[in-house]
Amino acid sequence: MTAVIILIILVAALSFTLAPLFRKAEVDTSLGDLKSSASEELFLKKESLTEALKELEYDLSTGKISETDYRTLKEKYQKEIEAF
Amino acid sequence: MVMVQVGNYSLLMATILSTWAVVSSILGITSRSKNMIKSGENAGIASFALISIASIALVHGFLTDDFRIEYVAHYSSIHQPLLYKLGAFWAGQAGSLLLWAWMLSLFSTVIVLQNRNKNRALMPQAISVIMTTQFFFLILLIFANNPFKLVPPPPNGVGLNPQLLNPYMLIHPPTLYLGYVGFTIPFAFAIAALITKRTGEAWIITTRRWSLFSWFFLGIGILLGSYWAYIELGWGGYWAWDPVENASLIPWLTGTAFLHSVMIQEKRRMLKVWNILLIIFTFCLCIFGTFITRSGIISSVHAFAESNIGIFFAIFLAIAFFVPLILLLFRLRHLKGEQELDSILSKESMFMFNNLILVGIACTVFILTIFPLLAEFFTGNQATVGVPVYNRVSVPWGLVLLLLTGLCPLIAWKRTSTSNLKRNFLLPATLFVLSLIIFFILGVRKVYPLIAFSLSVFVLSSIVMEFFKGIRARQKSAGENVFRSFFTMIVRNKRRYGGYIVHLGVVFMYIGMSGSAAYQVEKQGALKLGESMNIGIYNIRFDRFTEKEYPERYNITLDLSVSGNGRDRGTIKTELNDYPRFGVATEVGIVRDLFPHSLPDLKSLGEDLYVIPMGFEPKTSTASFKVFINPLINFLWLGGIILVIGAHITVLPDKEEREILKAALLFAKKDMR
Repeated sequence: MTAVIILIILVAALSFTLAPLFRKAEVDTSLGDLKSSASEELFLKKESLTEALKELEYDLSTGKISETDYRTLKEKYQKEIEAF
Repeated sequence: MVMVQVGNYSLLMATILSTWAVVSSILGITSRSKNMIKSGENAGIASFALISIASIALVHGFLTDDFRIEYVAHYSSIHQPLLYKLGAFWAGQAGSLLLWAWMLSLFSTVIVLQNRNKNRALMPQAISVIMTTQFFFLILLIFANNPFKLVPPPPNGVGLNPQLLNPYMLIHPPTLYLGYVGFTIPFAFAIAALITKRTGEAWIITTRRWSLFSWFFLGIGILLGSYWAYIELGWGGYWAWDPVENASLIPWLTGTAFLHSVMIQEKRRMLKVWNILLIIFTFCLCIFGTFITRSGIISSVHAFAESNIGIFFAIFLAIAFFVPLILLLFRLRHLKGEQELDSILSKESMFMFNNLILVGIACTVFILTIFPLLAEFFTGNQATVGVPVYNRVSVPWGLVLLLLTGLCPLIAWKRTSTSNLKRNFLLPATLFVLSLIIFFILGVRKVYPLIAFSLSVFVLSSIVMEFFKGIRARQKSAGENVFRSFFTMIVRNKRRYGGYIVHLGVVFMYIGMSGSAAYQVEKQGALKLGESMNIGIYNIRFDRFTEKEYPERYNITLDLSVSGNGRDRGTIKTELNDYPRFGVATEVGIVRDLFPHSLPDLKSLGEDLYVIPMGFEPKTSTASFKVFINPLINFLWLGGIILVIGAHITVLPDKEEREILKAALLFAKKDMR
C-alpha cells in the first residue's frame, strides 16, 4: 500500500516536471539578449524621469523647493526625457 | 507508518527535483531551451507539492499522537490542546526547517506563476538561486535533522515547553519565517540581475513588493515575539538583547536600509552596488538568524533545541556570501551610478545617513551578539554582553534615526533651498523646543526620554504637515473636499503615504520603548492572605488562592485586587504551574490603564501594572510577588498596529507600476524587432 502511494506521487511529480521536455522544442529568445535588456533599462530610465517630474510638481506644491529650483530642474528633466 | 514513509520519500523526491530545477535551468540558459527552463520551473512547483505532502504527514503525526516519531514525541503529548499540537510543528529544529523549506517552495511557485510572461530573462537564474537554497534546507532535513526519525514510542509525549503554550507563540515563528524566507526572493533576483548584467532598476521594481512583504513580516514577527516575551516569560520586559532576538533584528535593520536605499536607485539611479550588497547581507543574515535560533550555538532563552546543523549552515553561509560578492566584483563596471549627489539638503542624502546608521547599528548588534562565541573561541572563557552595552549604541543612534524620520518629509529629492527648508522646518522645530520645555516641566528629567518624547512630537508634526499640505495641494488642483482629497491622495501615492503611516507607528513605538525603559518601577514583596502592598499609586491586596491538580501540572492560582487613587482598578489573576518535566512556570497578571498615574476607568494605553508570582507557601498562605509599573508600554503595541496598517497600504496593488513594467517589456520587444 505504502509503496503504491509513493509510486503514484513519484510518477505524478516526474511527469509534471519532465512533460515540457517532450513538447516541441522552443528557443528562448529573451535569454542573454543584452539589446532587449538595454531597451528595457532605457524605458525604465525614461519612466523614472517622468516620475521625477511628477515628484517635482508635488515638491513645489508642498513648498519644499523654490520656484527657481523647480524651473531649473524641470528644464533639466525635460531635456533628458526628450533625449530618449 | 504509511504517512511517515510518504513524508520521508516526499522529502527525498523534493530534494532530487530541487537539484533538477537548478540543473535544468542552467541547461536551459546555456542551450536557450524554453523546454528545459519550463521543466526547471515545473520541478519547483512539483517540489512544493512534495514538501506540502511531507508537511501534511508531520501534521498527521501530531494529530494522531504518533509518538513513534521522535519529533512528535518530543514536542507533543496526549494532553496537549489541539491548537498547540498543530503549533508544535514549528516548535523544534526539524519542524522549523521543514516550515522554511515549505514556505520557500510556496514562494518559488508564486514567483513562477507571477512571471509566466514577464522577467523571462531573469527567471531561470532566479529559480536556480531559490532552488539551491531549497536544496540546502532539504539536505538538512534528510541528513542532519529528519522530522520523521523513529524512536521506541514512549507511552505519552513529552509535550511543549509550557512557555510555548501561548497563542502568540503559535503565530510568532511562522510570521518571522515569512520574513526570513521572503528575503530569498529579492536576493535571487539580485543575483539573476548580476549574472545577466541586467543591473538596472527592473529587478528592484519586480521584487519591491516581496521586499516589503518580507520586511513587514519580519518586523511583525519580532514584535509578536516581544509581546510573547512580555506576557509569558515573566521578567517584566519585552526585549533583553537576547541572541535570538538580535538574530531577527539584524536582518530587519539591513532590510529597512534596503527598502530606503532602493528608492534612491529608482529615483536617482544611484547606489546600485550598495543595494546589491544590502540584499546579500540581508539574505545571509536571515540564514544566520535561522541558524542562531535553531542551532543553540549561543545560549539563550529561545534556544530550545540543539543539534549538529552548524557545519551545514557554515558551508551554505560561506557560499551564499562569497559567491555573490565575487560575482559583484566581476560586474562592477555595470553597476556605476548614473548621477551624483547634488546637495546635502536632499532626500537622498537623508536616506544615505539613515542607511549608514541602520547598517552601523546592525553591525554593532551583530558583533556584540557573536562576541561571546568569539571570546570563547579565542580565550576559552565565556563572556557575556549586558543590556547596557547594547543600549549605549542603539539608544543614541536610534534617536538620530528618529530625527531623520522627521526631517525626510520636509526635504525634497535632489535639493532643497535653505529658505524653503527654514519655512518647512519652523513649525516642527518650534514644537520640538516647546515639547522639550513642557516635558521638562512635567517632570521628564532623564536626557534620552526627554529627547525621544520631544523628537516624537517633531516627527508627528512633520508627518501631519505633510498630510495637510498634500490635502491642500490636491484640493487646489482637483477641487475636491478634504475627505476625498485625503483618500485620493493616499490611493494615488500609496508608497509615500503608507510609508508615512509606518513612520507614525514607529514614533508610537519609540514613545513606548522610551517610557517603559526609563520609568519602569519595580517592587518585590511577600503577602499573607488579606495583606496588601503599595507601588506607585496602586494598592495590591492578596485576596485568594486555589490549588488544582491537572494530569500534566500542579496549578496554584493567586488572585489579587488592585486599587489606586481611591478607585477599584480590577483584579489580577496570576498562576504558578509546576510541570514535573519542565519545573515551575509562571503566568503573570497585568492591569492596563489609559494614562500614567491619571484618568481612571478608561482602558488601556498608558501603563501596565505587571505582577509576577514568585512563590507560594501553603502552610502560612504566603505568596511572594514581583511587581512592575511599565509606563507607556502600550504605545509600543499600538505603534505595531499602526505599522501594520501603513505597511498594508504600501503593498496594495499599484496599477501604474504594473503598467510601467508591462510597457517596458513591450518597448524592449518592439525595439528588438
